[in-house]
Amino acid sequence: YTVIVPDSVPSTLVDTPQTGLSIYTDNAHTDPNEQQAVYDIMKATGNGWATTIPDICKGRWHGIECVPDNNRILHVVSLSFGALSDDTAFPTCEEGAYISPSLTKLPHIRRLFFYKCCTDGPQPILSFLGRLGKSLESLVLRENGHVGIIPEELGNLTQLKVLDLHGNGLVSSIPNSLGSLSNLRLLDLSENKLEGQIPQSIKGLRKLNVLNLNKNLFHGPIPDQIGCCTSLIKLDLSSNQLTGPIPDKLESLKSLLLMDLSFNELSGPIPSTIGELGSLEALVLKGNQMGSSQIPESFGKLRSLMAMVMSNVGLSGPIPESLGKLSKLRVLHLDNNRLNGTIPKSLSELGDLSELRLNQNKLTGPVPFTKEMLWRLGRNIHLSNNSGLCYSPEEEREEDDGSLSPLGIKYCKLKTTAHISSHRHLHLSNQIAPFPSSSAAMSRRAYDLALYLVAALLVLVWFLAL
Amino acid sequence: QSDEGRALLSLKASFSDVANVLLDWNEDSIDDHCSWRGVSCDNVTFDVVSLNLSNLNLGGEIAPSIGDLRNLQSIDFKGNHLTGQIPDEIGNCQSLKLLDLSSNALYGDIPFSISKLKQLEELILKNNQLTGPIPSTLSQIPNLKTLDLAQNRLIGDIPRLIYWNEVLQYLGLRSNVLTGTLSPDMCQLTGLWYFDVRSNNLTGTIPDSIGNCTSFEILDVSYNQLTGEIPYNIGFLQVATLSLQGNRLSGKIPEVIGLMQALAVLDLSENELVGTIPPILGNLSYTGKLYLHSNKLTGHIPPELGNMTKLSYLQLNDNQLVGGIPPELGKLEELFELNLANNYLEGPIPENISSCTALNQFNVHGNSLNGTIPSKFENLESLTYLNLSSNKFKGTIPVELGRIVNLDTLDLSDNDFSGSIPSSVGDLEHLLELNLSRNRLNGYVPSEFGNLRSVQVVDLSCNKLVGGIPPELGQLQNIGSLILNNNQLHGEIPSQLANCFSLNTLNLSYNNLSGSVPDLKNFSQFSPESFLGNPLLCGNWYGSFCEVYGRDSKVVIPRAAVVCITLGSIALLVMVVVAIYRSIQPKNFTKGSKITTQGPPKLVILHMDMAVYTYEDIMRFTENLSEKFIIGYGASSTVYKCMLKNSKPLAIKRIYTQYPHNIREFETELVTIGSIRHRNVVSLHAYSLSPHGNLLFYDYMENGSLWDLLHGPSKKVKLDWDARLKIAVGAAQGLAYLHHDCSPRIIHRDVKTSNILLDENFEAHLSDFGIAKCISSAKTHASTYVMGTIGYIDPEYARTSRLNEKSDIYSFGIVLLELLTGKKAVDNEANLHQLILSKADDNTVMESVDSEVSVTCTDHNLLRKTFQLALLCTKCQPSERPTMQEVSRVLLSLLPPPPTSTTKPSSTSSRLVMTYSQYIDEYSDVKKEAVAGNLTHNSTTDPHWFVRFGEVISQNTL
Repeated sequence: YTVIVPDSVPSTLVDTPQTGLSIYTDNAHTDPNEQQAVYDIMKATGNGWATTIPDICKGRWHGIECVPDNNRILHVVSLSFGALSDDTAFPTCEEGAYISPSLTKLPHIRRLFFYKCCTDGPQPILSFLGRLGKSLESLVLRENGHVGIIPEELGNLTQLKVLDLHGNGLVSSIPNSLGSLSNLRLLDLSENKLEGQIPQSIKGLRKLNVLNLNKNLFHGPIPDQIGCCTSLIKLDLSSNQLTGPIPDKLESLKSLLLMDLSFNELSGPIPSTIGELGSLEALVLKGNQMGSSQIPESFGKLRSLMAMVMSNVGLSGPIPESLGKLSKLRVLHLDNNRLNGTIPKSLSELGDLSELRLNQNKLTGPVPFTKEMLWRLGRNIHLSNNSGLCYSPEEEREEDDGSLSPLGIKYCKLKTTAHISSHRHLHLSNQIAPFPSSSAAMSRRAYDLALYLVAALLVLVWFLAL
Repeated sequence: QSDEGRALLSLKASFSDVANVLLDWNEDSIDDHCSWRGVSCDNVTFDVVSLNLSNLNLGGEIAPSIGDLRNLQSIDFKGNHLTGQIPDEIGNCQSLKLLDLSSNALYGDIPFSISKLKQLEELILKNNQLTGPIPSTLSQIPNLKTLDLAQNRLIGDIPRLIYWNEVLQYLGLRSNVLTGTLSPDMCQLTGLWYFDVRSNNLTGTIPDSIGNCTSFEILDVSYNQLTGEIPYNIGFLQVATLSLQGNRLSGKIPEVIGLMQALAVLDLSENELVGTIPPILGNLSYTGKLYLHSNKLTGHIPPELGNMTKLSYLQLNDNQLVGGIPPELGKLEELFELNLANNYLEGPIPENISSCTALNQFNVHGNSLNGTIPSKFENLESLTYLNLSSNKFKGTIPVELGRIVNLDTLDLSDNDFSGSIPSSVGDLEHLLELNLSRNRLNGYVPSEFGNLRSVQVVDLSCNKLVGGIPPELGQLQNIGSLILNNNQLHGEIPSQLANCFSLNTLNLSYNNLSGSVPDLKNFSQFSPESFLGNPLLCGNWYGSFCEVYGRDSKVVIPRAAVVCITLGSIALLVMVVVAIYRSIQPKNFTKGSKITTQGPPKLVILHMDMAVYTYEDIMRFTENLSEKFIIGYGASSTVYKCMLKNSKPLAIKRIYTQYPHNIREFETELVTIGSIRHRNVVSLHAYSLSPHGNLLFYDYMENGSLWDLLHGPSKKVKLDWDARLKIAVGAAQGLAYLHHDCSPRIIHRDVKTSNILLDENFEAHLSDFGIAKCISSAKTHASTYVMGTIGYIDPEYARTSRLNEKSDIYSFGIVLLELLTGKKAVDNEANLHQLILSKADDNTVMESVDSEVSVTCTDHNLLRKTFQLALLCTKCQPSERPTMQEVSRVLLSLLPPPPTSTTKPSSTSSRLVMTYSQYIDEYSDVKKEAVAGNLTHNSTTDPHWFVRFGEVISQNTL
């Protein structure tokens, strides 16, 4: 079979489908240095039992993957640790586990995966990992109990495609050197205590698909340079302390599917260029105090958008008519803002909408939605606390004495004279849309019934006549 | 904390709880809500951390108040009837790790708020009616390990971002309406082992990058609309299951698949694959299922496939394969199904195929195979389906075929078989379909076909069969189609065919039949087409040679006919006179009865105490079986009570079926049953079989059935533990007698509480041998129809239809459970056996004891032992169940010692205990000393028993 030698990795490995069996049965054997290194690594995680395995590449041990070279020597390419799930029985880590420097004796290692491994004795990420630069493609130290800084040396891992340091206790700022990881496709530093600014060197990550810096202490502005990461499909900078406006330059992220900048201290105005993100499916900006920015008219161009979540961002002005063009929109949260004006009639064209929150605004005028739409949205429509908003059902209503409609808002005044009824219907908010009043339905039914009876009688008479 | 109690109550308020399973969720105990059903609280903070309301038959909706239970870590509502939408407020349960709402009727979109559950590890929403797209924002749940959204109505693309997750293990999206393509990003899932997008509307190709999905173990992209070739890189996968079937994949099967040695299942069927089957597939020595059918594959079947030693399913049908069947396939000793139908295969069936002794289905329909049926085929004892139709086979049908007794389908149609049909085919008593049509068979239709009692279709059309239609075919009670057209059959249509009530397709056309079409109800449904082309056959159709039943009444009777009819009438009169004269001649008494159609039906006396009565006496006593004597109804019978003079009353059972399968055999069975004398078996005193009704005369049982006493509407008598144990012992001894001591041995086949009758002393008597079978000495019986009563049927018997006395033991185990718990075997779809198994798992089995039992039983160890015995009886593996003798011995040992034995208690009890321990030794692999040592102190709580008990359960659930 074809021998594929990937051009990026200077390796002599035979990267071709292996007959599972031949690796384990024929005379191939593990490189003795690597074998010893794996023993060390296993011992360091509390898996000393592994030193009794005569050949660690043979026997399909979970968490170890090997590939042979042309001389039928097996090389370790992947090591995984941690109790990920019952189905993936990786070696688990015992108390006092640490990552052994013997890793540097695995010249062909491509993937390192440590999950919840060194949690009981917090330790820094050691800089020797930076020496695995020739081959390492994936470094996952997820919820692994690391503290301290991200070592500058990780910038040497030029082949790295995945760097996942999620859920550790890492501090200080992102080293500039990470900007040289030009092959990086996923950078997940979320849920740490990283601070400082997002480095401008991020522009070097031209292949980056996923950038997740969620739940850290980053401050300062979102660098314009993120706009250079044109391959980004997910940008999650939520729950930090970022300030300043959302950069215009983000418009170049044409592949972006998800942008979450929520829970920061970003200021307005919202750049209209965001409307150019034609692939965007989810836009989450809630929990920023953006002064009094408006929803750009250009948002109507976000044709792929399925979720727009902009609660509590200090929006003012009207809801643009153009939002009615977002035909894929399912979730629209604009609550807790200072939006005014009427609800555009175009919103009633959002046929797939399943969650609509406009509560806590200053909207006025009648609610433009059809009964069907209200019924479909059910409990997922929130319009309360808009003092000027009123509900005008299609059926003429007798009572308009200020009682609440099922939407938690008043009924609109009708032109006809108000007839003040003595009894009041107090409906709670969050109830399902209105139904025709039952007495009207009853009388209509009785009328229908009478008609049927007459018809039946006629038929009977006709039969008898025959 | 009572806030959480209140939230729970408001949750309950929006459920509809018909069965009132949340009875204990009430205002009065609100401070104690942590003990409510399904609620678990934290030990320290008393926060509600887990809600398990799975499978409780709850309806209604999930109230928004679920969001008030902010410390919930686990919500399991699966398997209810919940409807409405998933409440948005669920996003407030920030600690949630497990959310399982599967198998309900929830609709609407997946709420946005679920992506806020940052601790969520398992999101299981499968089998609902959820709509809308899969939200991209689910990718923001950092710890999501299981995402199962299968069997909903989700639309749109699979969000590309879902694939960017380092910890996702399980992605189940099967059976939705997802569109779009498989993203190359799917292999970013470096930890995923289960990837299932079966049955969606995905298009495009399988991405080349698939080779990077090295962690996948199950890859199922079947039943989509994928196109293009199977990428070479697929060979990098180490999957156990590769399902690509039901797409539009083209090109060749990549040879590299032969290197995927972890494959257990390889399914490439129903695509548009071309080229040959790569011989290297023979390297797949762990593969059990290889499906390549319904493609456009060409070339030969590679002999290397014979090296796939684990193969049990090989389906290559509906391709364009040529050449012969490689004899190497004979090496596949575990092969269960071999389907090579609809190809262009030639040559003979290799003799070696008969080495595939596990073969159950063999189908080579629609090829150009020739030669004869190898006589060694009789080795294929497991074969149930044999289809050689539409080939060029010749020679005779080997007699040995009749030895493949498990066959249910035998299709040899459309070949060149010649010679006569071996009568041994009539031995295939489980046959459902027999098709020998379109051959060159000659000779007679074997009368042995009357033994094919299960058969539904018999097609012998387009042959050269001669002779008459055997009247024995009238015994075929299940036959739906009888197709004999285009032969040379002659003689009359036997009137017995009218006994085949299920017959709805009959084709006797184009033969040389004569006489007239029987004037019987069943035959009126058949149109003239069924009889055309028989020039000498009379019938009710235009152009029939004698229009006897012509609807034209004004037809002029020709003079010759008048003469014939007159002569005929005279002849008939003479015969009647002779017959009457003969019948009044004294006749020798014979035990078995000839069914006479004249005179009063005959009573066949089996017990002397009935000898003084005649049929008329009985009819007089019961006022011709008047309704007022009815004491019960069965599924196929009515039971009357008959008071006799100076004698014990009788129960008369009237069986509805006018024609038991085979009257002669039925009678033999009745005689056998009548010969049984045992104090725990209801005696059959007499029977009477006649068109007026088939009556069986039994002892009358004063106290009705055990079912009535346990579950009847008016529980007039309460059964204490001793009475129940006594009943169990009696029933066990009766059954042990049937199994071991009578000749021939008898399997009851329908042991249940309603068949255990109680006399005036509450002594148990087994009854209802309506479906009992005598065990023939040689073969174990395999019947096509599973008989018995739901809840009592041995699952192994239901699976295999193979009957032995161990099935009765299973049913008896259920009876024991019923005695212990007072619960029905099946009640509202709840299965008693499963209930007890699950309770046994949590060691709470004693909770299920009937209160009547627990208050009357002083030693609860006895109950525990009886439970254990019941669970041994109901083991999955029949071989692990005890024999009835052993069961009755154990039950006997549990009986309280008779009062007289108090003088020498030590010896009696120790003997009994020894019996018991010996028994346990046999079945639980316990060291004898240990058990004996423990059992001698069985008066107090016995931890040893708990241990043994747990083991028995765990073995049972295996």
